[in-house]
Amino acid sequence: MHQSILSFRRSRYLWWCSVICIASIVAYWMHEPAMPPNGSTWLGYTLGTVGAVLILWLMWFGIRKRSYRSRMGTVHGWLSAHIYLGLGLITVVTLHTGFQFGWNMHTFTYVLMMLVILSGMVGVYCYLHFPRVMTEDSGESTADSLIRQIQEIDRQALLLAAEIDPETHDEVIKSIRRSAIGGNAWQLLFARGKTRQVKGLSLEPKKSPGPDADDTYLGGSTMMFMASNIASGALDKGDATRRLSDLLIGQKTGLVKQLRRNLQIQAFMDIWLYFHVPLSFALLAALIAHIISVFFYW
Amino acid sequence: MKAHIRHIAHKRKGIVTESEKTIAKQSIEIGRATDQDIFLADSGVSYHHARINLLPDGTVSVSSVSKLGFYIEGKLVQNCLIQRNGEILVGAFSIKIEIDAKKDQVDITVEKIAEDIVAEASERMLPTSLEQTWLSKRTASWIGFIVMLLIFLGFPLAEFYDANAKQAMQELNLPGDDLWLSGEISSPHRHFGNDCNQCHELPFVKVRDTACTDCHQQITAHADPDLYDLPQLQETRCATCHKEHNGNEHLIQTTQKLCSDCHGALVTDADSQLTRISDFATDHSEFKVSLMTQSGMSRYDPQAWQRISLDDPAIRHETGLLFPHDVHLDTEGVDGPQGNQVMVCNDCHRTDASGNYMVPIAMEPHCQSCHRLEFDPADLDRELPHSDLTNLRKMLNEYYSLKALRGGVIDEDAPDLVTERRRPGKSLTREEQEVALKWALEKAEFVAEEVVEFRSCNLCHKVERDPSIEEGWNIPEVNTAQSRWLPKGDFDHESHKNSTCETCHEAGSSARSEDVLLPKIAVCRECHGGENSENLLQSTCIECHDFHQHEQVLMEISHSGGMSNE
Repeated sequence: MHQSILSFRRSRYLWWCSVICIASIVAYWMHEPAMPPNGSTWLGYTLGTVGAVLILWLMWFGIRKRSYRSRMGTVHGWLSAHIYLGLGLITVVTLHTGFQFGWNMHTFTYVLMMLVILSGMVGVYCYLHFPRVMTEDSGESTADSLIRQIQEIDRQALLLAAEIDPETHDEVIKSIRRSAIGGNAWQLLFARGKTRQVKGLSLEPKKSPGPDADDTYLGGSTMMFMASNIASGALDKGDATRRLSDLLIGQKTGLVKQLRRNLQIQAFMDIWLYFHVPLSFALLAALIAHIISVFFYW
Repeated sequence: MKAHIRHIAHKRKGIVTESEKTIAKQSIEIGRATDQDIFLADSGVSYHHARINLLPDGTVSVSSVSKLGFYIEGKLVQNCLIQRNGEILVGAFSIKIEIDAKKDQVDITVEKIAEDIVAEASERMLPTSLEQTWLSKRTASWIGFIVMLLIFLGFPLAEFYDANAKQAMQELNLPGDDLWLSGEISSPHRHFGNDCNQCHELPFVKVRDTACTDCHQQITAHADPDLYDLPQLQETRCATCHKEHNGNEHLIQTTQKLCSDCHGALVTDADSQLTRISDFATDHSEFKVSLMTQSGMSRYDPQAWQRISLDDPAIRHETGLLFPHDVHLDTEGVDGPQGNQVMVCNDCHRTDASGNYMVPIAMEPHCQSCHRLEFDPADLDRELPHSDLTNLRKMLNEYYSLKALRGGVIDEDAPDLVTERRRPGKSLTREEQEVALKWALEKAEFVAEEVVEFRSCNLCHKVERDPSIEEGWNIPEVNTAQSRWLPKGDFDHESHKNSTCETCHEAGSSARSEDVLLPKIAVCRECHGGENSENLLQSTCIECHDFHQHEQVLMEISHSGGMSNE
């Protein structure tokens, strides 16, 4: 039976988190310090220690994740615990502050922590939501198989184009050269191609698209080229032309769209971690400074 | 049958090259091995991939030697038959086969079409996952870690340890240990608050008491350390109770827990006056007043004083004065020299300059306007001196001496010499002077006795005739100069001025001056409740009591607080 990262072992880490949160809240409620509650009452020190230890353990997950031989629990279990105890950190550390905030390093550390947790929540959402989206979108195909299929279509397109006439063959060769699978981080995240697709219809017959046109679709510039040539009657190789069009407009367009969407979803599932990890190291540094400063000016 | 084989190669910039050869073989081998008839340089092609068989009947069959097979018309096959012409796809190569029956040869055209372009394209494939892009968790993490450490630890520490660095940083406006400020500095400390090291002198050492007493030099102790050598008192630091960085309101703790932690659980000797107290509303003993319980003693004599609970039925305040409040506060008024006067508390009891306590009662300012010390009905403006019997006698002697010398005294019992008017120019003889003096001294004595014993002093004082002393009478000293009755607590009349005096002091019904008219705790409790009172004034210990007792010795600096005595 599938256990999601939230329901691992009947959500046992949800119970751990609840226990810690409730214990902290009760202790905070019952504690009546002589001065207003803050991090330096005995309860403040206790909650601060618990929070710091939790943060260190949460960051250890990065190491456990990469310790392939380790038998200490499973990464699946570790992740489930990481999520719930990370959420529990909100309660523990907020009570540690005693709600005493200011424009200083200590509150900044708290803010950093909240950003880390927030980015983690985004991550949980991604991990729970996007795999299904990817499955529904791509079905059986993986990114690799889609790429291979597209390459296969390219080959067939070349074959067909060679049958039509040399110019069309040339055109198809050029357009394959212009194709771009993948892209930079922005293009991956927003499912875009190398450059913007050529907009607008060019009805000039036999006009070749420029070198910068995005032709991954092959339904872009080259399609326009083909369409305009067919319309002007310049191309009349019948069956081959039809099948080329089918390939370009029908199959490849769809496949490329699917591939781009697949890569986009994969990128969504990765991008949050590029915030979560660096922020957590910034937090670690701020936390070290926070603890040292508290005892430096005791 | 011959085979005419033509290789077409597409180079860059549209250049097309060809090479031809003719071989006479029945079975033409296709593959990647160099000994093949048709050599295909493509890793997707097997060494021995396929054969083109020229059949006797003029047709051509293509058979695959390799398991990879070949494509014809988009289908992957192992064998096929070609009647006249056809095209197969082996790896990246297209092989067109045309049977030329006239020339009795088969034209084979080999052209590499797909692979290089597609392979090129795939080699030039751009990143397909974020990991392959410039984004890097590791770089960002290192940058984040180092920058935070530098700003939050590096700069403040540099500022602390190196004066040059501190100056440089101030000039560049870089933040140093300002970032470490954990809460607002209280207002009275702001004039040096920017310099953390004024209090935080040594790293990893709690703020030392000397940092406080450098300015606060007259802090008194809570209890005499010789009498109360308790760890709770000796080992507390200033910072145990006074926590900075919590804004203005919390530098002085008002919470009663601070007091009741000790005073609510006192362990005392049998003769101790201290009682357990933890909350004003629910757990506070009756007030104990300090007053003189013995009359006739000097107020500087400690033996004359006692602390008595207001609950004690034997409580009396021995002032030595006879004074009924009820007479003076009669709502129908009192007859005085100016006629009937209705008196109020304020006529005698006025607050001092601080507004907290009452100016002590004295005869001259408070009583003498009515209780005049006149002695001669013919001369009502003249009054005798108060509380000075010696001078009282002297004054009377002088007064009547003058009268006698001048003559014209209206007195039935006086000799004629004294009563008659003097004629101008006639002076008294020596004998006449003696008569006059004798009368004067007797009269003075008479009047003194009348005033002291029967008419004036005895009204308020206990007068005892005592011929053995110069004054002649013994009038014990009166103690009305007390203005503090509860020396262990601070009371403030100013903040209670919206109440009437009668609210707390039942003077209107007091007939004896021994009555102690201070309010019992029940009166205060009508308005003042405990720390968490819901419908009364929330009053904690600090409301009335000080930790640092005014009359105590200076507080000793704690030597065991903190980790270092440097």
